Amino acid sequence: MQDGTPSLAVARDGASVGSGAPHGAALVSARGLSKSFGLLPVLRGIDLDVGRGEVVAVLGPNGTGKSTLLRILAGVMRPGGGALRVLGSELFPGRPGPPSGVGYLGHEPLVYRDLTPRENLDFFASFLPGDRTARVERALSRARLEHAANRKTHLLSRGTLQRLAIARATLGDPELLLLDEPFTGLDPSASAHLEELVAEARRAGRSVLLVSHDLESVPRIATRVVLLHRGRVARDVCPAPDPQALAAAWCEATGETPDVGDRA
Amino acid sequence: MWAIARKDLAIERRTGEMLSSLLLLALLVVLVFAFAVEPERLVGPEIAAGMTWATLLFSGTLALNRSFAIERESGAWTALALLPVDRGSIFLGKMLANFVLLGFASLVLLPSISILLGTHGLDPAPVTLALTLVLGVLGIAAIGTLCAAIASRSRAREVLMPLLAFPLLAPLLIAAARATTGALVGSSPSEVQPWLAVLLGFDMIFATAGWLAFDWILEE
Repeated sequence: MQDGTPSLAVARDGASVGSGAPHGAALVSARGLSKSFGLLPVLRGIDLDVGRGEVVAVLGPNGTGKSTLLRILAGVMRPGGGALRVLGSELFPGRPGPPSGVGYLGHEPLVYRDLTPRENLDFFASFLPGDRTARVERALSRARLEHAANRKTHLLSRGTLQRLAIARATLGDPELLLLDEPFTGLDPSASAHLEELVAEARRAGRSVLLVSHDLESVPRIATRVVLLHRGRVARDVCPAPDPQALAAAWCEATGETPDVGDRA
Repeated sequence: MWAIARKDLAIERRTGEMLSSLLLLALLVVLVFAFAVEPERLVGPEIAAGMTWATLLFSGTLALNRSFAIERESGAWTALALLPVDRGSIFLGKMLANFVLLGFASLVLLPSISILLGTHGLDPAPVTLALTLVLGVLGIAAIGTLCAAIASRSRAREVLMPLLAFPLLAPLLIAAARATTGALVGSSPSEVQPWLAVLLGFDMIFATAGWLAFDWILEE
């Protein structure tokens, strides 16, 4: 995504990072987002803007709140405090609920083990507008799942299950795609395919926010990197630096050596 | 709502887990009754009605735990939360699927128990019986689905579910058993109207409570 040495447009220590969203109105706008589990604070005032067409990689050590941030943005977890707008709508003003136009890929596949991939996608497509069958077939084809479409989901390999999870997340052609460690379980060819999907989404003007530990692939697919540390934005780097610079930024921001990649 | 119910019934048709456990548990309860009480005392419409509803309540409550176990597996619970629909309609869909399963079980149970105990003295009024079964089963489905959803958030869900459900189901059990007793001796709906009204009230209260509360139950 970048060549040579990147210019590190860095916002430090939880400062607003809206400057990293140069492509029109922000699809995500979070201000002072916080979340605690019991007495343990996980997010401590996150300010984050994601612009249209951006691919933002959220990195950071384990337990730093990356997945929690994604679940809040997806609308499945209520933040403890702060304001959040996703796709122009305020989230959690009163009643919780997911914003439409957001696709979410979590740690788990979020599908029914006793249905086939086709039945799973058909079920989720029944809540979306338009031709259901065409949408399902398109998702199967895009995820290269045609060969496994009618197998029992609980019999699928981990990689195929992850493809199904990706197909489910992208079923509604979401404007904002939230991917939590999407490369887990994927073989090199499937990983390359996922990178293609992300690039395609970006070209179509959609935005992607992904959590990853894979410092090798992140610079290839991300346009911007946000480093979280102890529940705060420690670095906001745009454009995404090369792996070495990224590792150095990680060490500087967190005082820790980066983890290994999330590819299995 | 229909899509959720269709999906649950499709999974049940494939696995048969809920219905098989429900019917097996029901059979066990009936057998325990038969062993515990002298057979000649197990006669009359009161016994048939009471046994039917007690059996349905025990087996149904335990089987309804499965209803949300399928959502917990592979994180489908989160997938439900992500659906771009009113979350109350997810509750209604699951309640509808549970109603169909419990309804099927009651259609098997009531005749089986009546035959097992002997049909002497029984003159069933079909309309009253059908009304009682529909309202009673709907009540178990509404309370059971709501309690199963709440309990599914806990690791002790198998224990928590009956603890939550049984106290709420007790008045429903009384009303359903009384109305069924009346139906088995040929009473018209108007004759058992107070009991039917109690059942209807319970159905409406708990279906509405589940519809309203499911937003917060589903949320992390």
